[in-house]
Amino acid sequence: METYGFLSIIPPLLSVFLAVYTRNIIVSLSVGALSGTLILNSFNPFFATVSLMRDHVFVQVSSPSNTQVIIITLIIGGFVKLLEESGGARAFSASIVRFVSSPRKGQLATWVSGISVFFSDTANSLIVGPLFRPVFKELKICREKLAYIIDTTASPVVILIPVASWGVYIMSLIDNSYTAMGIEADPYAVLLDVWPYQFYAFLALLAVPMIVSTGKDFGPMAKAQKAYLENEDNHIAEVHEEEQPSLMVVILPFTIMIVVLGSVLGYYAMTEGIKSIHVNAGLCLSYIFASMGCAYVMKRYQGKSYDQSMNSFFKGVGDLIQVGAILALAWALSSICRELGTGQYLAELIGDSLNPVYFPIAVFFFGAMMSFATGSSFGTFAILMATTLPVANILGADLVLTIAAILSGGLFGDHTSPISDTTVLASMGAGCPHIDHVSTQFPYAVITGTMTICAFILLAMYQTPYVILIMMVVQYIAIRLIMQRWGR
Amino acid sequence: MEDYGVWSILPPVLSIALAIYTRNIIFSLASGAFSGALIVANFNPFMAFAEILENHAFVQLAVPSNNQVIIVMFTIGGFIHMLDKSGGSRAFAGLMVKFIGSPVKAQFACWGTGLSVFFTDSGNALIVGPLFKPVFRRLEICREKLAYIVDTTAAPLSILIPFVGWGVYIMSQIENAYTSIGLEGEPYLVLLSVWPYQFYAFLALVSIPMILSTGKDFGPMAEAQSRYNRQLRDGTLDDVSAAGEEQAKTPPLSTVLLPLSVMFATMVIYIGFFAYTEGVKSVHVRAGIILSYLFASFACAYLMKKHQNKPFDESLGLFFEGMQKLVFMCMLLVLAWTLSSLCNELQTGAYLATLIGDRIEPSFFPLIVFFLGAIMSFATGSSYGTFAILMIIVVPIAHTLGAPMILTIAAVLSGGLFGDHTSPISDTTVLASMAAGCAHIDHVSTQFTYAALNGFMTMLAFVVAGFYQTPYIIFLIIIVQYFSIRLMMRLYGHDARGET
Repeated sequence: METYGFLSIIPPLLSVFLAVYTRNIIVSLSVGALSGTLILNSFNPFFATVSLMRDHVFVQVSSPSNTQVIIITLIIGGFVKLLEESGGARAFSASIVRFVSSPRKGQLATWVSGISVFFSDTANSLIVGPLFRPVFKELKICREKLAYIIDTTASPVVILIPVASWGVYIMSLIDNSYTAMGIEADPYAVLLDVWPYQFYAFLALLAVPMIVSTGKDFGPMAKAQKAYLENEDNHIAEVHEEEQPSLMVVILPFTIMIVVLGSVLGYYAMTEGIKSIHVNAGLCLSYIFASMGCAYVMKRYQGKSYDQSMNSFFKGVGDLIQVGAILALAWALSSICRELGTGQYLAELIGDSLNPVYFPIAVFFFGAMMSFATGSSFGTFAILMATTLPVANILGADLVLTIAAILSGGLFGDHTSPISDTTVLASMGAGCPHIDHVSTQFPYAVITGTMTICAFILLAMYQTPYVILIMMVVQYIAIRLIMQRWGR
Repeated sequence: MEDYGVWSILPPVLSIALAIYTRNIIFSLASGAFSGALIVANFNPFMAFAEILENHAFVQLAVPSNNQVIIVMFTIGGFIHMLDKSGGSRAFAGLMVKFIGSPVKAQFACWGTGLSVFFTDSGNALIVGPLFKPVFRRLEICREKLAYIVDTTAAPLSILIPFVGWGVYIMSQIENAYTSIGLEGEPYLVLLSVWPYQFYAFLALVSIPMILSTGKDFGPMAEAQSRYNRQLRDGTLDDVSAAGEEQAKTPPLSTVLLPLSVMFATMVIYIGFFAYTEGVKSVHVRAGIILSYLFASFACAYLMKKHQNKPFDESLGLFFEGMQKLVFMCMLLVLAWTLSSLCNELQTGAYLATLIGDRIEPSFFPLIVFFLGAIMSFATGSSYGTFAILMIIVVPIAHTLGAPMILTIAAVLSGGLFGDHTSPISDTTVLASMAAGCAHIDHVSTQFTYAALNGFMTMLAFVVAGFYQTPYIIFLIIIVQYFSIRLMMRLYGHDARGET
């Protein structure tokens, strides 16, 4: 493979820069991707456009797991639309609001449900988001906050569950590089050793209740909330005049959804084990059946014909095409980065002149940068595990800590990156503009990121799993302080 | 592989029956596919769902060519919508109105305009119809005639252009059917060889000038014209005031010419380049189509910014709106792929072929397919659905029977088109009456006689082609059609215009 050196980080940089500057994610992703294929094709615009389509967009979209994600996304769009039209969403939020009467409780409820959907990162954003969207509307909390909460309870939860898809993936990577270095170890045991050091995941998860409990926001999130309240005042009046639809309208579809999903996953858990294709098929089925249930209830209680329901379903599918396009472009960009060796290049920048004790900190930084630039935590894990673990081994740095740093760094970058697919899905689940979600989430994620860095520094001095407890206390105090100074 | 025997024909039969009964093509295809999955999964409904998604829908969608088709469709949809909204097509079509003097010329102009707006099928009726409504009104030609002309220049024209939505859709169906029987063939080459045999489309298109040149009408159309005259004289015409519809401001002609030339140039360059180097494969055709439509959209967005001061964000929004319109069609494609992959597993085609055995002369097979297609399309009102279901079934049968493959595909297309053209519940027919502003039922009944004439000629053409397969048949049949139209007009036709 050719090496492109500095050129290899241009596409991600360009995308991120344009995303911030134009606030149009489609344009920035396409321009970034095109710049990447230009570099790959020695700046021949003709081949660059052809190869962008043929070797990246087409190939990525036809990779089975990607196709499945797109189908699920579209089906969910249809279901959400149906639920909106049936008024079920409002009925549900009205009943939830009875229990969670304050915005604070509402957000905590979202957090808890986010954690309870621990088996899949995409499912998390996609189930909890639509479910709580009307609740947030009722409680007058902006959608950016919802996006932040579900984004935070997505990957950070899944990475902590060793039996979920992420755990399996990480174990395979660990196994790979351990064998390459000639170290005998059970990857599962290694993963468990790493577990208490996954600072970013823990801190990000806990940051949500800490922030929510203050009842305040700061920075862009506070602005978003203010703008939301100003906008929303006009709509409130008409909503209440309408007749409340029966609660059946929402209970039936969601019961069907949970039963179907549960039985499909349960069946596979008992027979061949849950693979990601089963999760995807289960999600598809449960949403299709839930939509049918919804159509039935609408026919029964509101006299809407099935044809009408199907049309609203399609309308909902149509609404999500844009998300599909963003996903396709994000995948194409990351495949281009892989070909350019962007991650490799960044990894090579790590000198070996470092004090081994501080090695994990450096790895964390690089992981965060790479993952932010490429928008793919999985890709970052793969590259860093393969390149930095051998270096750590030679330097005599702690392998477990290095792995933890890779995971935390990758997660942090992915969480903040505008071009990451999990971030896209979170904004979709919450139904807020993608760029707004990215910019409001950023300061919160940065607090957690800073805390994680402190944790790794502390760890360099006193190596004990209890560091995480200290950091939690520190983070709690820090959040309180910030909210007191700048919070509204 | 298991032999499913008579069970194997359940999925397509169920799909067709449900399509005719419920007129909901999505529901019918889904039920058909599900019944197939049930059979494969030994009637265990739980496993059937898993089967249909994991082994068929997911797999089919992940087939590279299939999801390329979907991307192509979405891109085309986005561009067409943008072009429609830019108002450029109206400016383009408006050019033609200038050359109008006599009623016959007006109708010719309408036909010509219909032909020139070749890039959009639903747009065709909607652009040409309102444009010519005032002209026809002034020249006292009945609105049914206008509806007939715009309806005929919509679908039959689009089906003949390989790089618009129809062509891409059909290519995908062909490719799908071909791979299921293990036949090699670049789908676009197949489509090109089918091209000269698309009898119905050609005949329908040329029948308009033939009928117009006689200056007469016969049957219901002549009656409609007399009725129109009567109403004009009595002043009982429910005047849909045409004057008020004058367009606010027509954008410059470049709004449509530039994007279209960008599109053609890009397409020619890309496909030409690959023709010289590695040979044109379908993936190149598709990449070329996507790129050319994308560049054309950029051009369109640029012109809209320049002349109408529309920001690029808005154009992007329009593009996505257009994509949304194609969700239904893509759904249809996905279901058709799923059904076909199930039929393939069930060996439906092979079973049907053994059932038919040698009871049918293979040369007549295309004719039968034409009838089937026409009936189905007439009953369901959806030519797309008809293509989807029939292609899966008849291509494997034709393969086993040794019937002429190209003709069979052409017969599916012609049959589907004919049924769609005459069907009162087809959306293109509804659009045409809407655009021309005449009562739907009047449009259907006046058009029927003319369309039936073309249908009859198409049948003859397939009979002849079954025995002597040469592309020149189309010329022969056009001549025959010309004389029969002349004859019909002499016997039954009269010029009803202006009479009282």
